[in-house]
Amino acid sequence: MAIIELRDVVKEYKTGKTVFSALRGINLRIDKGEFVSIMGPSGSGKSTMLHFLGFLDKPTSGEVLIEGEAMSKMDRDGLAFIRNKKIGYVFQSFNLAPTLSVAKNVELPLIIREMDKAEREKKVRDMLSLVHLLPKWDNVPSQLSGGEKQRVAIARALSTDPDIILADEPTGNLDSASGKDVMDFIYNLWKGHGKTVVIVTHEPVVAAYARRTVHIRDGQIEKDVSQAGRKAELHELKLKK
Amino acid sequence: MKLADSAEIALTNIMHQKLRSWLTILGIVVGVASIITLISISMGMQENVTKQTSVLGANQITITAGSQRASRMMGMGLAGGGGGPPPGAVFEEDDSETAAVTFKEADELRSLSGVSVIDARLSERKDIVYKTKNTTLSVIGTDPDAFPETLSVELENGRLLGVSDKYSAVIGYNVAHAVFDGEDDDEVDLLNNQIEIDGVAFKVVGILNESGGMAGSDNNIYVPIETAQDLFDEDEDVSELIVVVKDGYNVDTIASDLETELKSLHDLSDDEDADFSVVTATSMQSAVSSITDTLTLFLGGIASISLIVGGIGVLNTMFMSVLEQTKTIGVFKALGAKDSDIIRLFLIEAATLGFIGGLAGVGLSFFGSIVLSMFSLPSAITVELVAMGLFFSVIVGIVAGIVPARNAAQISPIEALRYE
Ligand SMILES: Nc1ncnc2c1ncn2[C@@H]1O[C@H](COP(=O)(O)OP(=O)(O)OP(=O)(O)O)[C@@H](O)[C@H]1O
Ligand SMILES: [Mg+2]
Repeated sequence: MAIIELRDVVKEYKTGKTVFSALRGINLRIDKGEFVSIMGPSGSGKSTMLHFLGFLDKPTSGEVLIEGEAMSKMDRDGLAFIRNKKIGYVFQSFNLAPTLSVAKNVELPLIIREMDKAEREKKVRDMLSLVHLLPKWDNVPSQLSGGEKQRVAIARALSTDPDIILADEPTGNLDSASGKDVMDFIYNLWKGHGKTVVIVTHEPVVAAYARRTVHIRDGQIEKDVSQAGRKAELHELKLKK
Repeated sequence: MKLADSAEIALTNIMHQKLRSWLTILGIVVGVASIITLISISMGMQENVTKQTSVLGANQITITAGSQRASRMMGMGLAGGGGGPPPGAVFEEDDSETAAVTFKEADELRSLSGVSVIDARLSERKDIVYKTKNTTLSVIGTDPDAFPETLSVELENGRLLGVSDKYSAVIGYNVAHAVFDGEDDDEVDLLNNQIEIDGVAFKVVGILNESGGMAGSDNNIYVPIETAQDLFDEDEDVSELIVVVKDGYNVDTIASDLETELKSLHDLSDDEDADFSVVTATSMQSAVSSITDTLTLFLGGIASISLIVGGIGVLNTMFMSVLEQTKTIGVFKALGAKDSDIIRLFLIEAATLGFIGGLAGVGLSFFGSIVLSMFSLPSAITVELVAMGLFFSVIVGIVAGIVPARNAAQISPIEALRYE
């Protein structure tokens, strides 16, 4: 069964009198345990689509389903519950809470799910050490570099150990070394823990981690390519070196 | 989200408030400070007036001609405070056609049971000269026999009036120590010396202790009643009757007996309004409190308006604050915060801002009461007032926070995140 599904999803933005269709009838099934990358030119609608996969926005028309349950049938608290319990989302523009420290930002989804305080702190420590940001524990986001913010955003998204990881250009602000660290970690979560991963990226190197690449152009799916088999194997071999 | 966590995050947000938000909190500060200050002024006045009227003597009844005297006197007393004009001045003149109370009627009243003595007094303001200094004071003619019973103070020096005295005077504390102060090295000189009342020489035979209060004896000069009758050329009508009630009798009962009796002497039926007034310490005090209560209500009303205006300022701040934090709200919602989490976060923030404003307002009002006391305006800040001020400011904060918080909770995370 599809873990998330988009059915005829249309998103229109009204600005003044003009209506702009950012997504024009998207149908997409993502099965549990898939690793999907989404590619496409700037402005093609990648982020918009990922928002729907993340239950962050309502489509103008069409339906979004998670494990067979329709978004349109849920109330706001129901959506909030899905976002907190099932999804780890890395925003393209990080979206860190500006008044909260790095540690509090990472802790935030755990605070929201009312996790035990001691457990929370341990988790935050683990996540920050993973992204090499322990020394920035007490800093606020405005004191961080772009790459550091990105790493906080990743740590926050993964802190809840979500079933579904959605990442919008998670390596966009990172050098190739730390970008590889992050991707390897996500790859291992997928490989070892059966997570479902969807990553928006411009970089073929990043897209190559995925077993399936969805190409978007002008708000429509242009190509949906599975790269199982040889190519992926090769890639995996390359990773191991 | 747990309450403790919400509180912690709300407090962190408050620390990041823009200066502008803090300035708008001034609305609450000023509102609370003015509420507390204004109410404390009227409470201070009430306290003061109660103190003033307590010199009346619990077992005494004052009867004067004319019906609205008591409240008129209250008005003067409030405005004048402790140093106001002595009561004689107020009781003295009256609208001409009101019936007078006469010495003869006083004699009739003396036979009522429960009445110990009645001092039928005459009083007028007269020019007083002592050595080179002259001034105008109330001169009160009193019955030398009744005088000691009506006095609420002791003698400081000398003696009271005797039956054989004619041009002798007993003077109030202020007359000796304030009015004619500086003319002598000490009051012993004033004692046994001559003062002139309306050009007539009197010998000061006694000086009274300080009575305090507006109805006290401090600014009066007491002379024998017969001398006063000659001096003022008045031997029928009295200025006031001071009735001393016998021990064991209820003052209010005697007061109404006196009223009934005097009405019948004035040929008035029971249900007609009296053309004189009967005042006891309790009736006086309740008249006073009804005035100060109105004052408290009035001042409190004014102050409430300023708190409401302050509240509107906070409303504005809260709207701005929520608007400025729209992006943060988006972050919280994206991470799965429920509507109620967001609302609670902002309510805590709003209530805390209100509380801080209230605290500052309380501080300001204490400062205000110090300043007021420099202008000898009494004010009494009580624990209740402080608690009320804080309570109101928190309520104002919460009311101001509820609408923007609910609005904030309802927008979609992406919309909120897009806010710049
Ligand atoms: N709130 C909005 N109002 C109007 N137009 C919008 C709005 N949000 C997005 N768009 C438009 O929708 C289109 C798709 O936006 P989207 O962010 O999904 O692009 P993208 O594929 O993620 O691009 P990029 O690679 O640059 O991040 C863009 O043309 C954008 O201008
Ligand atoms: Mg994008």
